[in-house]
Amino acid sequence: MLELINISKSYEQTPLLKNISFQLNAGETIGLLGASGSGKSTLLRIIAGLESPEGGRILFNGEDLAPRPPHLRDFGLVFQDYALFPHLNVFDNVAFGLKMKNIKDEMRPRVTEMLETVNLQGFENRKVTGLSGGEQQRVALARALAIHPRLLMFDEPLGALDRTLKEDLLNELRMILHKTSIPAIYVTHDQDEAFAIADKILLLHDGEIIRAGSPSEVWQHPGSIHAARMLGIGNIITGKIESMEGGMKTVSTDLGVFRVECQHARKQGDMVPLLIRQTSGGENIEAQIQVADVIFKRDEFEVRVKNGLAFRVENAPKIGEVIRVKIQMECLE
Amino acid sequence: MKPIHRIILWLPPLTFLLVFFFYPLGNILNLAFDPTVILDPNNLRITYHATRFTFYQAILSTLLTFLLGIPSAILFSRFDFRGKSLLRALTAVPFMLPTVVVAAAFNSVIGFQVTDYKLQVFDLQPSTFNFLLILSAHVFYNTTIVIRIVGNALSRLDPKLEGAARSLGADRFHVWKDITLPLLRPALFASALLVFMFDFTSFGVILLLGGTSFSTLEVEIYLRVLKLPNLPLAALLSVIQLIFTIIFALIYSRAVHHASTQTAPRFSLARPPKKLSERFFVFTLYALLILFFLLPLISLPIRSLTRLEADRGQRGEIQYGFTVDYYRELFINRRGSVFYVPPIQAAANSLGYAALTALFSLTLGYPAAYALAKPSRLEQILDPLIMLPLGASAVMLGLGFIITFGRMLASPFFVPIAHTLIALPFVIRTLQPALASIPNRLRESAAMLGASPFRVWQTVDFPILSRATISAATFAFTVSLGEFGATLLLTRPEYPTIPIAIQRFLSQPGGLNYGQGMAMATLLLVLTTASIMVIEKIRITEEF
Repeated sequence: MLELINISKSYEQTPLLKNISFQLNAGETIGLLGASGSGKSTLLRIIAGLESPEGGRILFNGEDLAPRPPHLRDFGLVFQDYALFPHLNVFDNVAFGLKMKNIKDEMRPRVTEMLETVNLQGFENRKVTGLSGGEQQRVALARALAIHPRLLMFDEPLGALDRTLKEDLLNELRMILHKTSIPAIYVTHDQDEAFAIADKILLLHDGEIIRAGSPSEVWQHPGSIHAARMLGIGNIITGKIESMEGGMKTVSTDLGVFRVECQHARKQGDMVPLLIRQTSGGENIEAQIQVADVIFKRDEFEVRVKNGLAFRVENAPKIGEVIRVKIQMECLE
Repeated sequence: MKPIHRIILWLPPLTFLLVFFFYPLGNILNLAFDPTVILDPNNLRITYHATRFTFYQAILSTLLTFLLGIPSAILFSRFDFRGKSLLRALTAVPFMLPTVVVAAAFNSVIGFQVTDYKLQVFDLQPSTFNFLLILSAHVFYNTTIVIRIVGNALSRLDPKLEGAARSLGADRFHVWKDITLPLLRPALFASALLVFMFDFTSFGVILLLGGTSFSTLEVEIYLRVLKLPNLPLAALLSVIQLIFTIIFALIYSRAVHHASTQTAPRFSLARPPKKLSERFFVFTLYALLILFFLLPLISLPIRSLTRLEADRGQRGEIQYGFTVDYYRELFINRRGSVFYVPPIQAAANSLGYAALTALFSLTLGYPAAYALAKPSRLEQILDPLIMLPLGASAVMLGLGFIITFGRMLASPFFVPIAHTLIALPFVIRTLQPALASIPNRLRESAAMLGASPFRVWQTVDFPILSRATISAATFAFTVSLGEFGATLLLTRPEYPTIPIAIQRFLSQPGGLNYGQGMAMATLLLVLTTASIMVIEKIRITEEF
């Protein structure tokens, strides 16, 4: 449906987006996850047509969007700070897009329907400046939905809201997206939000998509050190390749010598980053660690090791004690 | 504060206002509301024409101010470029300059090319040329208002609104019509009204650049007081003027009250110009603003040091070159010159009047500010009352004095009293917040530690208030230095002030008079700039 091919853009001579390519299929929601300043908002603005890319093409149902100005794209855009028109009331905000398209007969029922969809029945004549943050975001969503967009884009839509409200709205949003089956791109820096709403996750780092896949794939196998850090998964240590037999490598680390599968070819003596995850069952290996610090964490204890790694155990060990933990190890890029 | 204390505090400023503002105002109203005055066809004709011309020139000036002000507001709110803050400061300078200095400065720009222009300045038919000069001076004065108000509104305009509207199907025209314009409308209206008010009450600029033939309400009042005496007509004109001013002020305060509050974007929208068209816009406007705002301010001092006339008593070749003669002449009392005293005496008078104005307005302003710092119901009534003199024009104050005090006006004290009326509202508004900012606990602790009430004032209030006091005093001083309208009506020939001297020099023929006018105006420019810098310095150190 939507296809980005090698989109690139720079800001004041430094590249912001480097050859971004991905595809969004009908009814699918993409969660675009990246730190602030990683260019994710710019990417949305490029898709919306508010900015033009320096290179690459955007296709929608096979049509190149380059010559199509933003107001003829029929894409909905929802901002973090809502961007409601302060001089218009709730009704006129939601009806704005319909007015621009000269949809007159259907306007009133459609606005009413949209306000029902976002649970704001009867808010028609309220001033938008008097609404709470959550209500304002609902109006913004209704406004974007009212034009029956071909694509919905969310730019950190819940960033300004508090935690409980965020979860409620996120659930509502997911239901609305399922019901309407409008394809959507959801941009955020919060992985919980992205994992909760998206069918497919894209990790944006330094202007590049470093990992793409379903939420569970991405979580299981982040693939690169940046992706693992971004998602905050487990412990990362560096190991030295001692010997290699095809894909399997023998690496020595602070925690001992292990055999790991490392697909990307490296020479003997190279240093590789390794992701260590604690496991309880299945295929795993054991590591010996010396306890440097113990912190009480409700049902369990967090054990800190000298080099900054952290593990969880059921019974509190003494500081200085050497204990065994079961781990999984994955070679990162 | 006990009620009796409040009354004691209010007694001096209220007595002053009663005697020197409300009583004269009552006399003007009394003189004007006479059927024989109001129904006189001649009076009606003059009033009608003066009102019509006042509106005409004010509307035209406002339109021209917007013509320069709107692009400038866009320039300052949307673009970053080298020297931006300096350029912005430059456009704000004229607003604080005395009208005579601005008039002389504009005169000096023309004086470079047309040497005998000064002969045309007064008592000639209204020419398009002079009218354009007046309009430009108004633009020069008020562009900063548009830059400030509209520029602020522009920089508070969230660009995401445009993005949202675009993605909802609005093309550029609809974004402008349905989003940008409605959001800017309060700022556009407020700035237009403010500019219009200043142009409507403009006096010095019109009289000095146009002469009495440009009969606005203000000029007509002046004319009917000094040149073609008809005090009842002058009173009628003042009342008309006052009514309009009050109506505008009321509309303005309503407009500001209803101005919508918008959330500011968290970042500046200004960025360096990128596209060729943007670069062209920035460069052209930059050059235009520099030229327009710097040229008069530079040409004035240069002209005051340049000989551009035939030798004394000669009709021959025009002499060019550098000279300090105009300044030297200021110290000489020539027979047949414009004055009975060395012209520099005007500077001494001005400084004396300014010092008295500062003294009077502080003496009267302090008690009022003390009472207003902790307002009771009494203050809610009195506060708008003490601000009322702001609504009256300077010429009207002069007229009121003439009607009320008549022969007593031989006393030179009436000039600083009139200046005090004009400065007092500003002085009170400067002192009041500083006074209100002192926590009473400081005073109570000092008292608990053994300080007498005077010692409390000396050790707690005074150090905190000294900045505000200097600021207020300097402001009163500056107002007095540049005041033209009231002084013109009240001053005795033997006690001229600097603005009066400038006006007299510029209204006389001859290169020497013109040059001395330029020298005098340069002197006033330097004095005013120094005062403004004092006030700004205090303001800035307070902020950080």
